[in-house]
Amino acid sequence: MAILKGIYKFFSSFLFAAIILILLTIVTLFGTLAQKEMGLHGGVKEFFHSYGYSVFDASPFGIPIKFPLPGGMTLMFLLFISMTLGGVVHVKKRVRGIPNLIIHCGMLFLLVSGYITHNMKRDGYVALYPGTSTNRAQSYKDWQIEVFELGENDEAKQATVIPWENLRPIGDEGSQVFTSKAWPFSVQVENFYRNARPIPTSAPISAEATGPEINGFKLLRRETDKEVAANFPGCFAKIIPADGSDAAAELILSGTSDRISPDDAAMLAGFEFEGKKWGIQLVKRSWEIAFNIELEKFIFEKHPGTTKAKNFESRIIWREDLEDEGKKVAVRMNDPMRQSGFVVFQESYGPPNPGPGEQMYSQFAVSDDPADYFPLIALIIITIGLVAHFVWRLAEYISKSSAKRRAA
Amino acid sequence: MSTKKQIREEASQIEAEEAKGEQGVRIFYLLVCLLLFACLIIASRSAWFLATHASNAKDISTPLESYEPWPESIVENFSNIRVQNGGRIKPAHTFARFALIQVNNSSKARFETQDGEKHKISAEEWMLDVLFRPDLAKDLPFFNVDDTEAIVAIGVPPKYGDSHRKRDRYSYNQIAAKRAELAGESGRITQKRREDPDYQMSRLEGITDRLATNVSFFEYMNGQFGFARKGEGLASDQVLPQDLKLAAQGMDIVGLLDVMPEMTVQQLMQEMGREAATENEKAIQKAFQLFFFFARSGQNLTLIPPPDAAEDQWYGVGDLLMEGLEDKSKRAWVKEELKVVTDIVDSQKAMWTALAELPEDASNDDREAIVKPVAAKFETLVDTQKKEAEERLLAKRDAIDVEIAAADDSLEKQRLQESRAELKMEGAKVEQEVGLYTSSYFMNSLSYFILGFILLAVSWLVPGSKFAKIFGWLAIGVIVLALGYNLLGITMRSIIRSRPPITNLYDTIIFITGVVVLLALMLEYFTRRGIGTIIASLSGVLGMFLSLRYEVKEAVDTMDPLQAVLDTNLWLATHVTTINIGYAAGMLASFLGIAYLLYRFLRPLPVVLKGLTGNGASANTRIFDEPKNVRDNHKLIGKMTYGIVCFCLIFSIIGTVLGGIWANYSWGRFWGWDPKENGALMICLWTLVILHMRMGGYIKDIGMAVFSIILGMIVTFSWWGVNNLGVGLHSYGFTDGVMKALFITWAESILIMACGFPLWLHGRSKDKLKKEKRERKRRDNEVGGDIPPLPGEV
Repeated sequence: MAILKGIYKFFSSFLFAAIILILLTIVTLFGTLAQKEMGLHGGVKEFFHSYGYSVFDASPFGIPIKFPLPGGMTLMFLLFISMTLGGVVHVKKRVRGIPNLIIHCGMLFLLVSGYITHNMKRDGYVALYPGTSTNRAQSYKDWQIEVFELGENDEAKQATVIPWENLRPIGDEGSQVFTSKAWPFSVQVENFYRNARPIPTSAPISAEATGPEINGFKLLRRETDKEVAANFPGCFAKIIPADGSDAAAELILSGTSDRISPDDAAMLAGFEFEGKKWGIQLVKRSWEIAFNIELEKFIFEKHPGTTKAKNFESRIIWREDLEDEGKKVAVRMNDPMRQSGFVVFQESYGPPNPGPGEQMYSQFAVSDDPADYFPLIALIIITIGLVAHFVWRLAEYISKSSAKRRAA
Repeated sequence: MSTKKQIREEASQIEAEEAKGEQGVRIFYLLVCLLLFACLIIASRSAWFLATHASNAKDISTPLESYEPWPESIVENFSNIRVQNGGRIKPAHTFARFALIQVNNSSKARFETQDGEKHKISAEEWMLDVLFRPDLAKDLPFFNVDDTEAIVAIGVPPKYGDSHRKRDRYSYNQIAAKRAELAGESGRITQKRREDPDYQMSRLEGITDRLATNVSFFEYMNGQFGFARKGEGLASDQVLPQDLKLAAQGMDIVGLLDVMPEMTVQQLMQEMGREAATENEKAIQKAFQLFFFFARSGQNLTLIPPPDAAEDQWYGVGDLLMEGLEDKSKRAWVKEELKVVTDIVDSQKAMWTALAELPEDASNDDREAIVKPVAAKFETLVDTQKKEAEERLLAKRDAIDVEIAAADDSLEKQRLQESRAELKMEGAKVEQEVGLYTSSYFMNSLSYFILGFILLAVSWLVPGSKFAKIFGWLAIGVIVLALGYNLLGITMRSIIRSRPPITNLYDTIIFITGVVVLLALMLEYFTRRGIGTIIASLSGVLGMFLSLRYEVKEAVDTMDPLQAVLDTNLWLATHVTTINIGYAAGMLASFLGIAYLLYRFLRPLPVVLKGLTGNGASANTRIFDEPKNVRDNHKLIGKMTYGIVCFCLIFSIIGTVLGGIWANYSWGRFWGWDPKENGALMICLWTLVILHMRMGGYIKDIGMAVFSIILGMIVTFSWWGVNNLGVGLHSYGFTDGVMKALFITWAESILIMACGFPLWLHGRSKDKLKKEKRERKRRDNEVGGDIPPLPGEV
């Protein structure tokens, strides 16, 4: 019991709160510095979304530095504990302490909303040319392998998916066999490169590729880009019969495209197994959104005489049902569309430097976050608490010092 | 049981040890003070260098015999001419100002003529020279070269024959002979950068590249109205060969439009490249080449609005020539517009000739009679631009009204109505903008902050006297005036742009300075000890000086329009303003921390110095022992620091969360761990660290001061440092050399923080002493009698 009491006392102490806050400051500082070399996403993953520990290994000021740091997530959990015990449970329950209690509750709510967002929010994008429509959003960074039987007219039947969570751990040198009830074979995925391109063997650069040649192509591994969306993975796939005999087919799978655009098309690889035609492709993970979006018109204006964007705006028609006439909405920078739990934001456009008369596409970010409005609520709570707390203290101080002055 | 003798022996032994130790402390103390003063001297020297370098070029002589300044009325009218540049309509005054800063590293050009006169001309006068007295402008030394080696590398003879002199200014004519070498060097650098986008230019390459850009800019500006000068004042032979210059003599370039067939630029270039067989063909080809040359030169100064109100892109004279070439139907309009410019060019020339011919004893009226009609031409141009702007606004409104009436789509109708509401007259606030710059609000603010500090310093000469009191009040008055100038400038900038006060990095400097000074004055109001006033004046000087340096260093218009992503007055007014108030409070807390430590650390310096000469207090008096009034003072600074840290916390937390809400609203993510967001988060976290450690009793006043200085370091990192990481949404406003300045600031901060260590040790030993005293009293009671005091005991 004494030990428990001691633990409780420590976790609810100012010292513990201060230690966690100092560590968080240090992790934030070095995580930020590391982003210069690792890219935004790399830094976030390594330092802020990590549970165990991470190693800072960079040369932020031209001096190589290497040392371990606690994981950001772990620290935030500990901060949550510290705030709950020290700021809410352990505090003296008195009127003067109410604002302080409100502040801590607001902060706890903000942390909880951050955790919900971190675990439950889906982020994706939709890129459309005027006149086209979709009801699916794609992931920026997650890929999956889809395997499906092809019908008589090469139409794809129900696909079975090897998800990103299983592909990512394979790594550059690894290999993993996947089986499914839907397949009469198993699929062995080898050398899952985070960024690679299929190169025809006729191209001189193909000499740099180390893997085997398949159907006149080799897979050339490229440096992983700091910007996560700029990586297009590639791997080898072997179709292994159920009896474990030699591979029935060997294929190169690749994400191919160079940019996020509606022109992105998966490189479908086909093979025959036991007389039936099958297709396999490496594609970005995608999911259905609650409605269909059609891009009616894309407006792009620059400040006169400059390349600086003044306004980019998409006129879209959204329909819950394809049969509907639909509703027209304008989506602009700082003016998104919120509908059925999804938020559609004007994110970007392309191609980056369109030639005269070249058609431009509009890119939307699509997210569904169950905690969408939580930060606003948290802010209101925190602001009330902060203002009440400090105004109260200031009033006390001023009245005390003026009383002192009067007495003097 | 102890005897009296034993206690006495013990006490004298402690005294001897303490005295020995104290001697060491004093030597160490003096060394640290020396280091602090060295830092202060280095900082002042750097500030002095930065403040004076604009005029520190030794050789500013020009071969010109004398220099006749531009008549005031012409400068004034020229300033108000509307020019489209950087995506907005601005006064020629602003255009000239930032152009000169870019080329000359200062908003004034200085030179010395052969008659021994020193001249300092404004950016508008310089621009007038470049445009209308091209040959004279080529002899003015205004090309800033930061390192003579860059100029030696392209073969230009260095001034004084010394290739190691750091900064100098050269005229166009001094560089022109090596124009091709400069272009070659710059081309090589461009090639390297093209091949490797991450290529970092060396310092010398940077200087050469900038010089090449500036020389090229000058040539464009110099040739701007070249079409109307009939071959006079043309650039170097390497830009326009001698034979073409000869051909240009007396040639009517606009008149060519009457005879040239309608053709595109590509067709014109083909014609220029074609083999010319006969003399006649050669003459035609030369005419084409000259037409192309003047059309290319005249594109920087876009001062002619398009005839169609639906168009937003204004024309330079060169654009007009091209327009006329490509579209015959527009030639009449083009010629009409160019006639106005030609008329102005001719009248300027005639004016200078007439002024030169005036007898020396000519009256001002005679001069005025010559100048007035010329100034009137600029005035007419400005009036025409205003009238056209009004007409264009009405036409735009009418056009939108027609569109609104025709729109069958409610969404389209709504957008059109919004667009209509946003329509503004082009250049509506040009006069205010000229007023903003000519009134020099920020320069005045800096001057008054300096004056305020000087008045304060004078008041310290006779502390406690009536004289000191008067000067103290005067200082406060002057600082309030300085703050008034700062706030007025910020307000004017907001009005001109119709925006909240902060939209870019430059705005943050003037805004944060204003807030720091305001808060410091408020502290002074509550505490009345003079500490707030010192901090207000010093931070005012520092901030306003930084703002002026930033303007020169970046050399770009600080009121350029915003990127689409930032185009939201709601969030700029809330998140951006709040977070910057948080930054300001963080900086003020750090200044208070510095004041606390330096006050306590440097206070005994005079006593220690006296001790060196044998006149000081005895060695057994410890240097950090403080009388009550000193203790009261630093306790008060500690309280102020605490108050400001709390203030910082409120604004940083609200500002940071508001930023997240903006991000969530606009881009669908509340928090993206973007470096700027992380910077703001670190400020929040560190203020929380300070408050929790203080509440837990882990830090007292010294700790507060040290931790507040760290807070200042975090604020500077977030404010300036993260922009240089080149990562994320907020990586705007890249400024060279910022990291170096930050490192120096941080190193100095660490040194000042180190001063807290001996103070902390002193505090600890005092606590120990108190404990011993209590113990001794206990023993004293047991033994009885007189016992000598312990060393350091007052």
